[in-house]
Amino acid sequence: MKKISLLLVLVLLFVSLMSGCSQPAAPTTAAPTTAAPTTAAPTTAPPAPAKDKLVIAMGAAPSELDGNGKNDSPSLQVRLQMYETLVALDESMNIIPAIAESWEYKDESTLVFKIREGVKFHDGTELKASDVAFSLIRGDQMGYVGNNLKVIDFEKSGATGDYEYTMVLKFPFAPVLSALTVGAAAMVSEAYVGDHDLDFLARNPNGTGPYMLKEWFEGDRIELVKFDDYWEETKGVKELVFRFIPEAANRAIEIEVGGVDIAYEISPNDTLRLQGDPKVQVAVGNNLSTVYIGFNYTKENLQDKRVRQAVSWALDLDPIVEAVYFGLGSQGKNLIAPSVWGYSENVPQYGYDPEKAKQLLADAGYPNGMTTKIWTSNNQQRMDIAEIMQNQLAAVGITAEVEVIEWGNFLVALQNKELDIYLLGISASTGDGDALYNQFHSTSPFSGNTGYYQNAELDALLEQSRLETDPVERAKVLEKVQQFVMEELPWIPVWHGVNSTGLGLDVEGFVNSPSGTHILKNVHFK
Amino acid sequence: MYKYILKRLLMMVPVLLGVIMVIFIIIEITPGDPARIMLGESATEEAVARMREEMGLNRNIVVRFLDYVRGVVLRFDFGTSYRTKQPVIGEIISRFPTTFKLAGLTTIISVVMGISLGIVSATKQYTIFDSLATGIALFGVSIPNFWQGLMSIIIFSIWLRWLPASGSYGPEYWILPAATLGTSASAVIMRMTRSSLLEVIRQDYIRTARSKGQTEMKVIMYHGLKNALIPVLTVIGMQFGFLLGGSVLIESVFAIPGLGKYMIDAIGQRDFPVVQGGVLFLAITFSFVNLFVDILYSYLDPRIKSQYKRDSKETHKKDIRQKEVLNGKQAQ
Amino acid sequence: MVSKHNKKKRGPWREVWRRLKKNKMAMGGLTVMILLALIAIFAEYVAPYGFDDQNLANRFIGPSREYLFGTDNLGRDILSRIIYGSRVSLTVGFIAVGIALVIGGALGAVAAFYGGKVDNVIMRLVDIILAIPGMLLAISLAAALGPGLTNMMIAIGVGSIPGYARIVRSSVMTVKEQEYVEAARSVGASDLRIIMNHIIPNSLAPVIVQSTLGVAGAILSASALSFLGLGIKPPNPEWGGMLAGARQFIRDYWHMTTFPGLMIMITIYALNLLGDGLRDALDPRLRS
Repeated sequence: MKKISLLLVLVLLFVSLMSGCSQPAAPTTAAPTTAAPTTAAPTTAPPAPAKDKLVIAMGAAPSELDGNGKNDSPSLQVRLQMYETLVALDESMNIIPAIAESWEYKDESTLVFKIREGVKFHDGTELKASDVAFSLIRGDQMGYVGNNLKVIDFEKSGATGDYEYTMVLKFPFAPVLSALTVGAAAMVSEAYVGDHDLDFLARNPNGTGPYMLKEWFEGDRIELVKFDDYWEETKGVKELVFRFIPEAANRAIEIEVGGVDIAYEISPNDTLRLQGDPKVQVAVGNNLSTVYIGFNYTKENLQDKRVRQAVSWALDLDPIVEAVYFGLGSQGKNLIAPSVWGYSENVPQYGYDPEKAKQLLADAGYPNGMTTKIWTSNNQQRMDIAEIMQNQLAAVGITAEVEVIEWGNFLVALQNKELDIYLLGISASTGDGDALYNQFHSTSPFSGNTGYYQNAELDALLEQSRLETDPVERAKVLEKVQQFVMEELPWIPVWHGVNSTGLGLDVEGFVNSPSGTHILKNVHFK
Repeated sequence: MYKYILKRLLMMVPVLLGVIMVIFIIIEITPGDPARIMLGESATEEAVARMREEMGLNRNIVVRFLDYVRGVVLRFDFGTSYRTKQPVIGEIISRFPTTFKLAGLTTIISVVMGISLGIVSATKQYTIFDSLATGIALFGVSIPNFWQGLMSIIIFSIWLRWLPASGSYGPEYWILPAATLGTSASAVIMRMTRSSLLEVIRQDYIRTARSKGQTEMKVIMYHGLKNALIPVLTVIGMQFGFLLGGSVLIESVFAIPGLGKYMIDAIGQRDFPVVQGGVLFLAITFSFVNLFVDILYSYLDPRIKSQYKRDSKETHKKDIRQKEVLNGKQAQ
Repeated sequence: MVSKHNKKKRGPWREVWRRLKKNKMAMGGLTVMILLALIAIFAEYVAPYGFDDQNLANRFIGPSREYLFGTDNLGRDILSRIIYGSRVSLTVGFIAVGIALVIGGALGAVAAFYGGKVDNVIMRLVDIILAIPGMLLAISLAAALGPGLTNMMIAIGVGSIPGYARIVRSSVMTVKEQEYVEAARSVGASDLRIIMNHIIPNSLAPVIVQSTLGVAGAILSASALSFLGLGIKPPNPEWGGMLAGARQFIRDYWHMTTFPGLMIMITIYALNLLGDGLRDALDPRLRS
């Protein structure tokens, strides 16, 4: 008996020891808690009475906090609270002033930006036009902005005063402003960057945004605190806490039990349930993404447009969208999302007609059907689509094997042109129809033109769209492009996506950003 | 004894070199360009090529291997993460306390459950209690971890609202994950306790103690357990060692920033320095825990001590068998 | 000599069987496993529907007369998928263990038989694999080899090689010293012959126990890999994959996770009961 009680004592001792040091990672600066400090470590659990801390659940941790660093979505979701771009996008994808207060075209390829005065970096220094020039060059050189800034002639561009930046383009390029909104082109301090190496900058941000870094708890959360010298009065709370919760179901649970105030990327089925929950709000807003079925144009059997059209006629997309996305978002009608600038509804559409599909296949020389493969990464929704596709294609005589590979391997296979039919998503992150150039121009890298599609006629149209500076004319050309690709079907659109965000009942001021990078500077408690 | 420890430490060197080599080979055959994954799909080809050069990916595998080993040995440098650009060893060490805590709590739960169930089922062999105890313990082994974790979140966090659903911000946060892991680990300890106690009970000295008129309780607790627990201890040690490797699924389900999750993410993102450094770190930890357990074992059981001078391996037959059972379950 | 040997062998195995039969739990486990094996073999005849018969209009139907275990998110009959899934799950379990057993067993036997340097080298190799956490090894291998049933079995199998190597090695070491081996050697039997005819049969006991439990572990590992998105190729059903894929619906449609989960539990439970029973039956010390 003695042994057992001894064991018990030991266990209790260990447990209390554990709880005593339960938060070694906790900041030593006193965090505001109401509980007695000896019994409970500061928790983000409900309810923190003095509500000045907004807890956000996101799916993954950022890679880095360098303003010109990697532009993956978790990084941007945190970083764009701390950094700002020259110009920004509002929730309806209009260009709005940010660091640049205003701008004007001097001629077709010269833009003069008036830089806002009194903008401070978090280290207290003031932002000057020279920092803008430095940031754009650095953004381009770091490589994370893709081709977005390539149109700028950096030799001729530069600061033309403390608060004036003159940008010279290599050729007239209408969508240049939306290109400047790309997250990795954020403004950094020239002096600060010059003083530190990349490894340091990845962890120690110094931006001009409304929040600054308080502490990064490796693998668990990032805490931001309001920047007092921000150039604008905001309604935002004092502190933002971004928690990394990888499982979508758990983010939904946390918002439901009140563990967090905002939960990003709620899955479709959870969205439906939370919409029926009176204790939670759900913000569902369109985003810029389109999930599509791609065809590898380098494979001979997929080069015939009749085959691609046959696949489209063979698919019954309506029930697919219902089954996989629970009716959220909308069925794919076009190869850019409806919220993208230049989107047109006046494009060829395909319905569900297996007979027509069979006919087209026969015309293309496959009267007895064909064999192919459907490739997807291990994303649950895309796997589901692939399985349904497999079934529906079988009905018209296309025998397709489903190949699910991990994302890293998928990229390699894509780059090596090994895929056949594949499922992917694309997001027109700058919100402009110019994304079509990246998607279908024959010289676009594989990251955009994933199917290696080649068509001289289309190339000419796309080039024309870039040179057109009059918005109305440009929209017309873009419409032609969309009509062309919907007829040729290098890809078949499946679904236009939504951002689904769970919000606590007392959260106010959240605005869905179609890009998925929600800006939280005006989010507060009721 | 010191000679034995020294010998074991020396034996670790080729094994650890081998571990590095195995990981290098696996990484070499893994498709995926770290530079590309790091820069994102939209990065330009030139940027990717430059990054490859910068990361030293174009060098020969043998050169990289030797370079790595030199870094580890001379500077304790486990490399720099491709993704976060931070030293791998720092990131590992910052996650280690979390994993250590989860492993510790899990071990406590499984020891308490495992030993008590083991005693019940051994002393009441072939009765309903035996079946019941075995049944409870087996339940833990049979249920897939992540399912049990999700179910317990639904029950205890959503329905009952007793415990938080995810995170690691205080004692209450540890209960669900540790209990989930603990139930599966306890079965192994329970089994070991049962069979070891059954064996001991049949020994002469127990019979003697009984005949002296001591209560059954006393006999089991004083004489039986004392000896029966020695092999159990080894199993506990092994299990703790395995748990230090992190429990990937449970860390995912409960959003706990532990080592296991960190490593899995690194594999997915082709963050190879993290994979190399992490596996090496875990292998070192595991080897030391192993050694510690063996030493402890020899202290507790003097019969074995003498045999160490010849070959330590033979005495471990049973432990290894248990260890492998553990391995399968911990794999989750 | 061979026939004589066989006769000698039959005795103890019959004894083991007799003891096993007395253990009700173990027999229960064995019965369940035989039933599962039969279901797997005759899946086509047992399953009410095909494993990929989608009916998007009938999604998420709860258990009913038409669909005994309900339907999944693509309107497929869960019962049928579980029945076909038993094929995949049992295959993964047994083949993964088979791979580990053959390689590990061979390594262990060679190490023990030849001893000395050979033993030392082989056992260090085994130590290397043992030092790498099992799940990490499986995941790295799965990522390196790519998807598919075969690769999944290899990924799971490699991690358990050390276990079998060590068990076989130690039992062979014990057996090697026995008189009948000495006798065989003295009449000039070759090494291979001695290993095949004498040593392997006589060191089987612990290996059988370990394999039984190993199959259970492999099935769980497969479900873990599926959870991480490294499962087998759809639409082939595998219990772990079904469970992992349904986890997003765990709140709304309980039947989707419950039935595959229960099947895994029942199988692991049965294998464990059988394994424990075999251990008791094979362990001479527990004879009573």
